Amino acid sequence: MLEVTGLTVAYGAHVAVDNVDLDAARGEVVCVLGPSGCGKSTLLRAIAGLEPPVAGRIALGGQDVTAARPDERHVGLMFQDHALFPHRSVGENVAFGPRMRGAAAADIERAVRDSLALVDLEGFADRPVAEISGGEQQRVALARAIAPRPRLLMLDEPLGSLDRALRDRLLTELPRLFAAVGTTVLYVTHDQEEALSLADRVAVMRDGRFAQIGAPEAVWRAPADGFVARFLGHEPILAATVRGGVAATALADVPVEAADGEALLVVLPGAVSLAADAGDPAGPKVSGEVTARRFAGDHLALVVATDAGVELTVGVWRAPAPEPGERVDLAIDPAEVTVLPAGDRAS
Amino acid sequence: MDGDGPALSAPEAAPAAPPAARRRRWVPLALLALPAAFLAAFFLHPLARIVGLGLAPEGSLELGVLGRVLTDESVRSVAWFTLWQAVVSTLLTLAVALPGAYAVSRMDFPGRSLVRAAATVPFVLPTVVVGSAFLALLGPRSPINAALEAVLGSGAPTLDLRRTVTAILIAHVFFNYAVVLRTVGGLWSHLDPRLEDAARVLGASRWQAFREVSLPLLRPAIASSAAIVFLFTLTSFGVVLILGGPGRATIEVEIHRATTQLLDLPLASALALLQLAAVLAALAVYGRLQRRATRQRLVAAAHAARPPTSRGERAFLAANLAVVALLLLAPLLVLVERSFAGPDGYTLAAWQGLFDTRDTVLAVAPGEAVRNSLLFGASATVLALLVGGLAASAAALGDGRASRLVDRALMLPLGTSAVTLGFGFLIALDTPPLDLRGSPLLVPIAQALIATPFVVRTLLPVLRSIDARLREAAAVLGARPLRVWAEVDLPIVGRALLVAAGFAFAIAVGEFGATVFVARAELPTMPVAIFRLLGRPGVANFGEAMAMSTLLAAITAAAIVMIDRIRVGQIGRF
Repeated sequence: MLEVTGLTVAYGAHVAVDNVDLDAARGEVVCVLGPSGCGKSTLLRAIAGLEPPVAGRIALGGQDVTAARPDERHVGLMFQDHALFPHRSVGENVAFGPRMRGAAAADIERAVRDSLALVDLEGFADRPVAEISGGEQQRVALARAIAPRPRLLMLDEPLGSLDRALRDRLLTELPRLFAAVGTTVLYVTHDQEEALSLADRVAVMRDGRFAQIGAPEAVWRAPADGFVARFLGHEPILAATVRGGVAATALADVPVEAADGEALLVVLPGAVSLAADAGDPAGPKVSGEVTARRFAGDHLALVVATDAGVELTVGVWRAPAPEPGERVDLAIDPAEVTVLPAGDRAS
Repeated sequence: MDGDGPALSAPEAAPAAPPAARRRRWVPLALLALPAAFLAAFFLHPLARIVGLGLAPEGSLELGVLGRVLTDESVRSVAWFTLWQAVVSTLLTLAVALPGAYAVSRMDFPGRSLVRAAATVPFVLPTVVVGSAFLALLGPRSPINAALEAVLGSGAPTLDLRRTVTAILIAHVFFNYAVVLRTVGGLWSHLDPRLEDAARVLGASRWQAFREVSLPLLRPAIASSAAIVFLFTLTSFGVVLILGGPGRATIEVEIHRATTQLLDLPLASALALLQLAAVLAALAVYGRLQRRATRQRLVAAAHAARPPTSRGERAFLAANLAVVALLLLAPLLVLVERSFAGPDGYTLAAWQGLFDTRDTVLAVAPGEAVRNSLLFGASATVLALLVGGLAASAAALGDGRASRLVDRALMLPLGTSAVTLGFGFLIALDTPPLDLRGSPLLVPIAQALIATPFVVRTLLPVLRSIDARLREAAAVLGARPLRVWAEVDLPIVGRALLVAAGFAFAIAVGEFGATVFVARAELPTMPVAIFRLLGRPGVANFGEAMAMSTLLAAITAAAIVMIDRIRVGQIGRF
């Protein structure tokens, strides 16, 4: 459906998108994940035709649209902070796309009704957009983007400005909506939870390039490099020397499946547990002192300063949990670590 | 208060002090006393005389004069000319300035702020200077004709647009370009550019995106700038007086002619009433437009402007820069050039002539007019700051209703045309206790009346923006009311006061419409002197008019540059 090849977008000397390749199959949900300023919004704007690329090719449905005007591309773009037309009502905002495409009055009306129904805003058509809440504005922006039935729906940080409760609710509703619309989706966010829960494939972006593209679980369990691992929140990430299937690190020696040499050992969340709770008693053990305890609702997160000098965070689901100052023994599950080639730890 | 010791004997802090609301009520009223008296004596009183003279010339109500004036063929044609030239001037200004507003607000290019500043210069120029500049540019001795002759040979047609409607229209566009540029461009540069992006992605063409999204959002600014331009051109006096001719007079010019040439005061009064009615109607429309603005999210100007990318965009930008250069700068350059032109080559004769008493056009050496203008301008500035400052303070202290009332009342002189004010002075201030006939004081008073609304408009937002808690903090820390004002209000308002002073001075120095009625023959101001010099034949007089205009433009520009340096980072507003 979408094929981006060698796309480069530059603002003067600053290269925002640097020789990027990306494709999305019909109906696929691809999430572009990256820190702010990595070029992900520029990528969307270029695909929408709002930023002229300096090099590369963009094709939609097999048709080259690199030089096409934005209004010829038939894509949907939901802007960060929504960009609703302030002088028009909810219904007029949603009707705008079908109207620009020259739809008949009856079709426009149906498109507005259907789109508002999809986002649970029936009966809002006559309300001025300035008088509805932030969450409702977000839904109107989504309805406006899907109303002309775009072949590609792009969303730029759609949940960015919402409070947490609203965001969580929409996060569960969006997959249902994507399925109902049935369109290809390109979703840009800096929030890994959003990306991992919504995407068929995640593309992690950094400094205008993709660091890794893959299925959410694959990216999560096997980050391509230290940047991706850190961006996903994995810690600690330790320098390791692999020899004969064992990675020697400052923390412990961990059995791994990797070739000999210098490497990075990424400890995934869930790899560390109290030794008493460990499922695999054969795994490596470390001990240390609890320095802090944070209540996280369904569990307690313990921060442990290990004797090896590395800080670990351990989740504890049973009471009583160790108090700060207590010494604890921890087990590391070798199945929950991953090894990366060394070299970019500093980045 | 049982005398615990000196440390606790502060009487102001006693709980017996009246509640703030009660104590405050009389303060705005006291502050308003002087502005109210000023307005009553020098605005309402003359206005009442005009109404009286127009409706009851012989002391009893008689609508005959008014009726005769309104049905008179020549008056009708003047009214018709006034109206249509104002409409056409407004439309032309919009047509030329709207693309310019787009270029300076949405396109990022080197020298953008310089272009914006340059485009603002004409607006602050005195009308007489604008008239002189276009007289020089569009007359037979203009460099345009020299260029035509150089290209086409001696058989080239001579361009002479003096005394034509075309000249008036061009001068009006020149004069009002900045109104549209700043009002519309100011809003445009803060419109979220993603709104048009959203429209484009939804399938709107470039033009549709503009028409469907930006245009409706800009409509209030376009409408209010159009209303202002309409008002300015409807009451255009100096430009029309200098560039127009027989059959090309506005009501303003007719009031002047009826007063000074026909000596028909009832006719002038009736014309002034006609003018007042037209202005009030225009103001009413303006007021309605102001109230209908869409609430919208504005972005920082820096995010809205993008460098031109396509060839079409670059051509558009170049065309608009050419308009600024040709329309806005050429007249001024020619003005300066003409002031140095002599029969054979360039000379300083005109400039020397300014300070030569041999001249008989004026009762005094033209150079005297410079001194008069500076003196009158400075006095008017002090007066306007006093009246405007007190009124603004009262408005800022009082509740919303009182504050709006003061705002409106002091805006009235702004709406009333300068000529009407000057004429009113002439017929009203001649009887005791206000017998100022022939008094040189009339000039600064008239100028102050016209400058005061600008002073209020500059000071009031700043005064209102002072956080009331700052005053409360000062009071709690022991400052008496006057001390609070001196320690809190004055330092914060100081900057705005300087800006207001610069504005008032520029307006006073360039004021022509009212001054020409009240200035004594031997005490002409610069605009009056320029007008008289232009009215006389001879190359020497013309050259001196050009030199004087150049000097006046420089003085005004200096005042405005001072304002621009003080005022940082504000959206231009009128």
